[in-house]
Amino acid sequence: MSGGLFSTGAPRRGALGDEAMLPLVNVVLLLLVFFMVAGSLRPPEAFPLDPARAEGEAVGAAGPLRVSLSADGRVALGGQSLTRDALMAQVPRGAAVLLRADAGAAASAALGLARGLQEAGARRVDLLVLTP
Amino acid sequence: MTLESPFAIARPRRPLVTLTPLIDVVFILLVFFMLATAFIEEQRLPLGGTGDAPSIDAPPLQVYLRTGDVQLGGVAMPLERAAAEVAGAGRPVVLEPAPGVPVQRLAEALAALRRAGVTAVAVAAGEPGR
Repeated sequence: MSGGLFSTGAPRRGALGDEAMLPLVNVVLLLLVFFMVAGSLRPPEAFPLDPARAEGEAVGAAGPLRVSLSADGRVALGGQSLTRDALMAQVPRGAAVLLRADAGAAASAALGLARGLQEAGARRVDLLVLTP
Repeated sequence: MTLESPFAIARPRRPLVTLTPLIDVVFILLVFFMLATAFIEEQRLPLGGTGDAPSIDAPPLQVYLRTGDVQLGGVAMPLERAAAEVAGAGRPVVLEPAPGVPVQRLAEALAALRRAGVTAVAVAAGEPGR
């Protein structure tokens, strides 16, 4: 007896019971295809933060390096929290960096981090914003 | 009486391939994609670098960004007016945020300059990279 999600333990009615589930399978499959096609997978985040809201340019399909800056000054590379020195050491030369700064962080801190990233070899740094 | 294999099906009338395990797997996949999918649209605002900002041979205009207004050439004015004036001047812009200005305000200023058509925007780093 397969302990499936929909098995009730009641005696199986054979092929008839399975055929009754076909519309459910159809709907679930359609939902699955919708989520796979319409959405994009969320990149990992080291800590939750709230990016600024503004109109910007579209982010390219090729995912650039994501650097996060929290309101209290913590930094992360991708989904990994690390110190500022370790971050600067890990930035590849010529990388395009997307700076994911909290809306409440100090602008001077974000710009200081952006300049540090450029000195560490980043080719360009962009501020990530969300559409308002 | 033959020896029963451990995989023998108890009810001989049960079909070989049943739908229930398929539904289980599809349901788990569905839940995974629902949780892992992001629909929020992300956009970017250039913070300079050797990006695609064209270089203009003219002395840059200094825009000092404060929380309530901006200072352009020592004159306080709203952000939108400064953006329009800078766009009319056709000179590159150096945007410098005052201490304590949040990233949200910086993003608004960059977006306003972009809306006004100013392409050559440099951002003066407040504090040096630590």
